[in-house]
Amino acid sequence: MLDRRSLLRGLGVLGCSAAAHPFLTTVTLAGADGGAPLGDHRLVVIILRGAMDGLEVLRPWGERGFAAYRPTLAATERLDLDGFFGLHLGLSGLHPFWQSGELAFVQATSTPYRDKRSHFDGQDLLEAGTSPDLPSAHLRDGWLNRILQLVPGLTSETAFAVGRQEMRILRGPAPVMDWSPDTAVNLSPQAQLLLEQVYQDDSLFMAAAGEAMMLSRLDLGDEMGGLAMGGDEMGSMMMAQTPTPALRGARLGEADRVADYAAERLRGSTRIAAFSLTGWDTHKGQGKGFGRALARLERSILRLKSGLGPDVWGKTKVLAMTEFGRTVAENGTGGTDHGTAGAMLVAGGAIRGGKVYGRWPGLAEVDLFERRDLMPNSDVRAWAAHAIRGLYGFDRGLLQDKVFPGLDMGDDPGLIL
Amino acid sequence: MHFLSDTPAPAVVEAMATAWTASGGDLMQVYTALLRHPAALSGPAAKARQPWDFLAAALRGLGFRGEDVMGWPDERLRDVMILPLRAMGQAWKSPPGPDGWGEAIETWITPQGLAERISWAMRWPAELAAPLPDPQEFAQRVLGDRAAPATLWACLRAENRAEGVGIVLASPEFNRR
Repeated sequence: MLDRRSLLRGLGVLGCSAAAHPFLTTVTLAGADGGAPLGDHRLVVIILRGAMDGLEVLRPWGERGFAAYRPTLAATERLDLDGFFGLHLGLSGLHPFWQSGELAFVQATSTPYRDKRSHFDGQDLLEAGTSPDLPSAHLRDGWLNRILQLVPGLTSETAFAVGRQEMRILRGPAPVMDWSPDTAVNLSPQAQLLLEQVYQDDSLFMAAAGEAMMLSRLDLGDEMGGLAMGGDEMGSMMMAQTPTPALRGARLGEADRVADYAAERLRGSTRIAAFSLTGWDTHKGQGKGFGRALARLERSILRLKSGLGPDVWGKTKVLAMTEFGRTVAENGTGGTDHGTAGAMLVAGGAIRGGKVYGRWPGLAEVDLFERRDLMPNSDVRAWAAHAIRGLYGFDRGLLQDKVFPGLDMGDDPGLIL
Repeated sequence: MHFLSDTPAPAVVEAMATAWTASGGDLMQVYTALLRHPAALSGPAAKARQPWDFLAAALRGLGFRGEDVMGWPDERLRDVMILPLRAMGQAWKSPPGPDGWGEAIETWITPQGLAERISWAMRWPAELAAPLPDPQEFAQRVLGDRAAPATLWACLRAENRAEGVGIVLASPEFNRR
């Protein structure tokens, strides 16, 4: 597919963009030719690395005793959602999505990981989509890759891992693309021409370089202010849809470039994208650091929506999930420690939002897991499995046997429109 | 498979298997059979230098010794080694599983991986090495008789030494082994 001319063209474009603009953060994307085998729906999985405090994002304000567990953390303002739960102000830019049914939460959910509280193991399990009682050989593939393995005829474009963080959730035998918008190649026009000569007799290098240039071309569009859309159009969309003043005119951070890149891919033939947001491990002085992490999450979702456009956003579901939750009580340094159940954020035009899903376990001491953590009332994989079933129509047995071995999906929660 | 090719010649495999059986499992004998086999040194460079080997070979080619690199401040180690390794797909000491890093050349020469290698090659030699070597001498030093005519031709025509050296490090010959 890639010939000298496309490499040359790609290199030429790169020359303009590269100096000022990094190539790629690792977004993991999966795609199909024309999207045909998977249909039109899009799935975006954001892994929140570091254990997001679900009780901070989605505060059970109506729960007696909540404020006593968290004397400083719970004392700050929140936006009421349903009379019981309040939203952290760091996500206030998403409040309109709540009202329009494009934002939902799942409370008190977790992977089957218990007691050991290691971020790495917790994330491995979350991305593998398995259970600790299975032999470790099952941990090799990610569950998004296992979905791809079920569908013949997909190309590597179907799924994309975006950004520099390794995305085990997409790892496995099915072909996927990895690209980080922060990959920078700073080439002079002369160096581009010369490299093209150097690679012309080596088809592997020629293809890889040519594809790199094609992938990086999107970054040029970004630099000019608008990907495939006109710069003005993109600018005005962003203005209209981002109520957080800090977003306007802000310099793009890595997380923004990742979300933009994922959106651009998903507007094309890509159907599944995955990337990471970090910074959730808030043992100390949670207030401040948590706000920054939430801002990145909020911006990622806002940028996904604006980058996808109304039509594709309407077919999109975003799942933001974390390896485990945090302790119910705040610790002596204004932070929280590794816990068990947490919250999952769900967004998109393809969801039934404006609702907190999951059974609330309560916070009385007897209701806690090991008397310190929020009790898990659902398996985070079950929500993902129902989402996949709702979006792509997979058979329940296939999901329970092949994608999430050993999972009991339970009843359909009706999260997908 | 690690040393020669993702699909090694059956004759080499057989010679090594014979050495294993004949010596009762003496690994030194097996390695000797590998290294003495004509196909071991004459075959095509079918493997990729993994990112760590790429960086180590590039830095050695630029005249740095291990002690020099170990003496770098943390920030430089991070920018020159640790972050690029991760971006090239080989995060320092974090292989994807108990069986280590992937072997196939396609694991490493990916769009992302190659873009990062090119990027490193064009940037860091100029910032690290003073003075920069002459690109053609550099090519001869690090590539020897594996230097392809196109690489020698191209590195001479670069618009500055830094790009000339970068082209050598980005060449297929330098990234294959």
